[in-house]
Amino acid sequence: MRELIGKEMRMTLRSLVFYLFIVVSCFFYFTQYATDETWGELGPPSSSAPQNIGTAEHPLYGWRLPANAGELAQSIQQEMKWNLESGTVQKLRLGFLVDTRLSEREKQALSAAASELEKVIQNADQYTMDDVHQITGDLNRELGGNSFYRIGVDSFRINVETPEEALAAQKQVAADYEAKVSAGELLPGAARYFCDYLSLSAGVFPVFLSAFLLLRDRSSRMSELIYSRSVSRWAYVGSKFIALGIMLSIVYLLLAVLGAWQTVNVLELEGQLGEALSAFLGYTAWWLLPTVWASVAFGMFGSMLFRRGIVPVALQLVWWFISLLPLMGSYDFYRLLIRFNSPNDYNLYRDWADEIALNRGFYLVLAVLLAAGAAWLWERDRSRADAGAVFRKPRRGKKSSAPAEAL
Amino acid sequence: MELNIEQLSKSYGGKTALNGISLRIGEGIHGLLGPNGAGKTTLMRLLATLLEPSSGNAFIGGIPLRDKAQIRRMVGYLPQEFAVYPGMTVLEAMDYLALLSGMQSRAERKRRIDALLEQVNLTQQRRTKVKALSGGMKRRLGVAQAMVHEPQLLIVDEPTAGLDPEERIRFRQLLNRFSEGRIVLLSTHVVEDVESTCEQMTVLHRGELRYHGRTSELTAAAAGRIWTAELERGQWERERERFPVLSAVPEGTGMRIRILADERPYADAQPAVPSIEDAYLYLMRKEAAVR
Repeated sequence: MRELIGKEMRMTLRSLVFYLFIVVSCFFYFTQYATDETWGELGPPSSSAPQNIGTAEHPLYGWRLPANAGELAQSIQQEMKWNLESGTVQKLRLGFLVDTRLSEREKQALSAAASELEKVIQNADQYTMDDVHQITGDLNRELGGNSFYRIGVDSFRINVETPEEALAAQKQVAADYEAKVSAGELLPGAARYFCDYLSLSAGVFPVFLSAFLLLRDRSSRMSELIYSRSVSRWAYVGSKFIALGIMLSIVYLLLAVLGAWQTVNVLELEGQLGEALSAFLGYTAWWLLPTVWASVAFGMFGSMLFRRGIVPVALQLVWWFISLLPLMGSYDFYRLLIRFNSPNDYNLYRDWADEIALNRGFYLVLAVLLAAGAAWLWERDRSRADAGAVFRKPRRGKKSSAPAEAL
Repeated sequence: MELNIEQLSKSYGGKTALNGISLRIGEGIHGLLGPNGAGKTTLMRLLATLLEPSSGNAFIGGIPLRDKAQIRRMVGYLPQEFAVYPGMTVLEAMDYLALLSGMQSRAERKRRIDALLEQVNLTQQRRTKVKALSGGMKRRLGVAQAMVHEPQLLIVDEPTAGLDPEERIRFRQLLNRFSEGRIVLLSTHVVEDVESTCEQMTVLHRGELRYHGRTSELTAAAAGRIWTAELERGQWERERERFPVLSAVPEGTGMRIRILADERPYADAQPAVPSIEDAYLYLMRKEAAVR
């Protein structure tokens, strides 16, 4: 089987779509991760003099994240009040935030949560930010599990309205950055950020290759030739699955190497390339590759099930789309991608690590099961030349040289 | 080595493509003849495990068709429409298909592929992409790939289609050499291929067996029914619809014709020794008359 995998990998190298995939992946890397915005977020915070970007009546010196449970509770409570006044709340529908009318039960849940937050505001030093997240998490479940209050949908930033406040916020950001660096969390955070962006391409583009991988036998009119050979279904379909998986994984691992090198270079982290490579390759292998392999297997399985490549492509697009949001905090089994759109928030990551591990483990198992399913369906077609569209029908009007027909 | 087919049938929906065929085929080249829709390709696909029989069974060297893994190791197959992935060279295609046939040893594959390419005269084209080969070269490559794992039963569908006469002769010799100790099932429209290579033959028509036996004995059926005559062109124009004409060659102002008739059609018509083609046409004609 090793030789078969090698041959399949060489065949992948001849595919124009594979090179398009590389181009698209590089495009995502350079336009999503390797940008000035990313370097700005990853690098040390600036300490320029605060400037009013609002008006004289309503000064605004920027925004900052809530620094403690009290501020976070206050910010969220304000949102709740607006919701109760308008009688609506935003909910995620097919990847979009849509205003939805609140039912009486939901209004009661909102009021109860607002009261809970009031207790936090009154006794802020007795609560942690996790306690606040717990309250909003419970509220989100009451609202159907896909509301604005889901963690990761919004970060509830606070307006900075005075220069003093702005300077204090700058100090806090600088202190947080130093703490992150001291804790060795800068590069893992960058690696997670890298995976978050690259998962956008990993969750959809592999299917353009895999959905046509087995159908190529039919379009090349090789089905009969291959079906009649003694190769087993596992060796044939498995070698194609493994070969394409490896080729696509290599692309992402190379981009991870590039990402590690560029991050170290831009942030001037001398002597930390080894650490960066370890973080980027590790997160890529664990976060990105299960998505890639599941997409490969899904394309192969779908193409065998529907006998059309376009169907799994369309289904994968839908799957990808509903996995895009929220930007972090949702790792249900139906989510093909791991979204963690922040180079910081290590605490949140630590809280979700088990969910993420379960999700990734699930997708690795799913990839193997789908590939096995594709092999099973391939074998089903193997002795069913009469199943329709498996073999090319003779061309109409093809003249026969049969002497009997000349009579 | 024997191919034993017992009451083999295949239906597609309500249409019967093969109806209870029973055959016993020994080593050597066996011709399979019949018009389009006769069931030849269905029979070959059944033997190549590409179809499931509706009823009946077949045994290749005693192995039943349902034991597909083992049957696939024993069978080499050249489909009527032979093609490989575009972009593959002759050598790559052969190596890939040999690997799919279970030839794990690289050295063994190389030895076998080199020898086969030599035999089918494609050594010079080993690095040529398959899509750049001529029709004849593709057919030669098709036969070579079917033989690569030295199958006990070689099934070839229309292997000489598109070949020039010289290539066709080389081809027959190749099949002859390969058939020693093996069975070669040769399906063709070209009666001449069967006549010059097959000791035994089978004729199928509309899914049913019409003849199974020695090739030379097929002519016996048409004995006394083949006639030659010389007709004026005017007479030829008037008479051409009366009898099945096997051939018509212009000669001066007249036509020399070869016709099929149970009795002497003209006073000056002369009896002729039937060829395999005559006999085959007689068989088909008789079939049509019965229906």
